[in-house]
Amino acid sequence: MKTPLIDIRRLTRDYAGGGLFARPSLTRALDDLTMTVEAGTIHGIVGESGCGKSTLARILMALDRPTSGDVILDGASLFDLSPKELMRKRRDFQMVFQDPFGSLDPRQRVARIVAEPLHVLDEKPSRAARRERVMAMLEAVGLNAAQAERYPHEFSGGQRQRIAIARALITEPKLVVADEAVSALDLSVQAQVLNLITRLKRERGVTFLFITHNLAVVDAVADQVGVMYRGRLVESGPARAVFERPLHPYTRVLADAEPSVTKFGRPPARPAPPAAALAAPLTHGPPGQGCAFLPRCPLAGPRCAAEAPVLRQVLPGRQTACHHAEQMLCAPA
Amino acid sequence: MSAAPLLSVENLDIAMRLPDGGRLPIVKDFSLTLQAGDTLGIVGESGSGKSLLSLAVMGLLPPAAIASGRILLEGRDLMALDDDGMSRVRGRRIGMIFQEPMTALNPAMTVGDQIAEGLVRHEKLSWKAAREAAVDLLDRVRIPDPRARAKAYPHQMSGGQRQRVGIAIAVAMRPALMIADEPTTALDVTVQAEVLEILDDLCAREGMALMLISHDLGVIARMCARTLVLYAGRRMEEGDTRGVLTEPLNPYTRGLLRAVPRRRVDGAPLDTIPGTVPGFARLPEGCVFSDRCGDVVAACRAGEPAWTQPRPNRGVRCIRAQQEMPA
Ligand SMILES: Nc1ncnc2c1ncn2[C@@H]1O[C@H](COP(=O)(O)OP(=O)(O)OP(=O)(O)O)[C@@H](O)[C@H]1O
Ligand SMILES: Nc1ncnc2c1ncn2[C@@H]1O[C@H](COP(=O)(O)OP(=O)(O)O)[C@@H](O)[C@H]1O
Ligand code: SF4
Ligand code: SF4
Ligand SMILES: [Mg+2]
Ligand SMILES: [Mg+2]
Repeated sequence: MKTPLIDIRRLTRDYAGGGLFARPSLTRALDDLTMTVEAGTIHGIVGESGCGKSTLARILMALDRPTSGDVILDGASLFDLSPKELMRKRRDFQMVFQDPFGSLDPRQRVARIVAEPLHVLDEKPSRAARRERVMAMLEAVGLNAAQAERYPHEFSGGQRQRIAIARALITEPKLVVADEAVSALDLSVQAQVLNLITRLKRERGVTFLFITHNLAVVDAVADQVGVMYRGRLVESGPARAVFERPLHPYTRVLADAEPSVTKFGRPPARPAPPAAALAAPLTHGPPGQGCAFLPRCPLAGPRCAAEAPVLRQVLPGRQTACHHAEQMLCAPA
Repeated sequence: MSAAPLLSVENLDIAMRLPDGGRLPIVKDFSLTLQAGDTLGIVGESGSGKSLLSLAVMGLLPPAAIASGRILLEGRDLMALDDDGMSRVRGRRIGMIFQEPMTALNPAMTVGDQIAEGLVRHEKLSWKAAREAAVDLLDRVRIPDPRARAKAYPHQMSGGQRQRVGIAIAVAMRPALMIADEPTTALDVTVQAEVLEILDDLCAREGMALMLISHDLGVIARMCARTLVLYAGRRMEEGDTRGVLTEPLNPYTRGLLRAVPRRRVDGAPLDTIPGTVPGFARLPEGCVFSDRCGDVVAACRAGEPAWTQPRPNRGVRCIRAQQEMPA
């Protein structure tokens, strides 16, 4: 078996919420998360707001450190690297942030912003070559040469997001962590960027960790997908198989909630979630006993309250953290 | 006031003043009517002028913008109001949910107080009562542990949580018209479904009118009875949502529908609309979509197609759609 590009081992990240609120509290943003990402694949991560997706992304970019656990990037433990080694590694690992407004320098012209990562390359391309690459990149994300001379504030939200994407892709990194990178884009540009991502993977072997809440987008490009719930990985497997036949009740809930151009008006009333579900905080404290999804789960049984399900293989290549996954195997899709 | 619609926008044009003294037209020939309880989706690519449109209705156009035409809310001409009058209308009658939650939030004030502020100012609630109401509102937009979170500052929340705070602020005033600019783009599907339900309830039960700006056609299908497609500041198509999304008349609408992400079994790339949105300074001659349109004919470049209504409740701006419609 080849070594994965990213090997995430039992990652836990607690945020201290003490001092600011009435009583000190811990938010466990990541809870014993283990997963691997193979080189040259597009690996989707889906899950609801606050489930820890951005925390995971920040740790992979070494912008944050885990409370416990490790990340092996390309064979080396990320948190054992010296600052210099980390710098070198950074060139191969780029990130597109969820919020492009904070990440674009307002005083720089777009051409300069996009070219910036080229300046730290060992072999810095010539001025003309840089210019050429910037223009090709801008075109690839649907912006034109005239716009290269303008400043970020002169662009709309979607346009700024594309500038951020162009900047991340310009050095042709090995890994791109994209946190909600296309959610704010228009359909046509979104399709262009998704095609670009697929092409970079196919032709240059770039690996993408593609974080989004948009299942259709993941379904359109991802090879593998991981579904997160409250800091844990609850399901993983080939994207197509996971969306066609979810093996975790939460994945099914996500798929049902997704709007579509073929579903008009208010969806048929869902059974009201039990009162306990509404009372349950979305983020959880220290690992509890039972399954974190229990309050919202239509399949829950007695075992679910007593024992937290661990991720296990149910079908070849398909993992799920649910005691009753077998029921979903036989249930109509 | 008999049958004055809740909102009527008549022949609105918006241009931006340029540093060299010239002006750059952006929104042209825009009209719409909304009654209480109406839900209108506005679809259009980035830079097509959707935000400027909503800012115009809110009276919040940037200083560089020049608007002409009329915007009537409950029969009152908003463009004739002074800043004070407009800010009263904004607080009480029109609510807005912004695309970028961070820009709408005050980083130095707790989110609970930001929600309470409007209630104190416009509803004359005491701070105590308003803070209590704020906790309820945070709960309604499903912020976990609302009482504790009311005391948090925006930077302590995730992007999706901040957006829900923005929604709570807007919903607090129970506006007659809600303008929501990409309100759920930053939200995941389950929270999005809940937020859409909150907005839906306000429309259905309290007659709130909704102008929902989104590039997510699924969200529009879920929420809006009517849909208007905007391109380069022009209305390209309007009609009942099902009609527009299942039988589009304008080639641009068809292009958008084809670009909806989906898994391609054959591994072929997703369909895109060729080219990019032209800058407003370099719009093509004639139809503004003619440089990207797959159906373009010579006549398209001869002059800008007029807005026509081929059927009742259906409008389109396209020479060919006009010709091909049975008279
Ligand atoms: N303050 C401004 N100064 C100059 N040009 C502006 C200003 N605000 C907007 N524009 C221009 O007006 C056009 C419409 O902008 P607007 O923000 O309404 O787009 P949009 O449809 O909301 O896009 P998005 O969905 O990406 O936010 C764009 O070409 C933009 O560059
Ligand atoms: N700097 C921080 N301080 C305290 N709590 C935080 C911080 N950053 C994130 N959190 C909390 O951690 C959880 C996961 O956050 P995040 O990873 O940003 O979620 P998302 O999946 O939406 O990107 C949320 O409950 C969030 O409120
Ligand atoms: S373990 Fe039980 S509660 Fe958890 S998802 Fe499976 S069936 Fe539902
Ligand atoms: S008028 Fe012509 S160019 Fe414009 S949308 Fe119709 S067919 Fe295309
Ligand atoms: Mg996030
Ligand atoms: Mg906008």
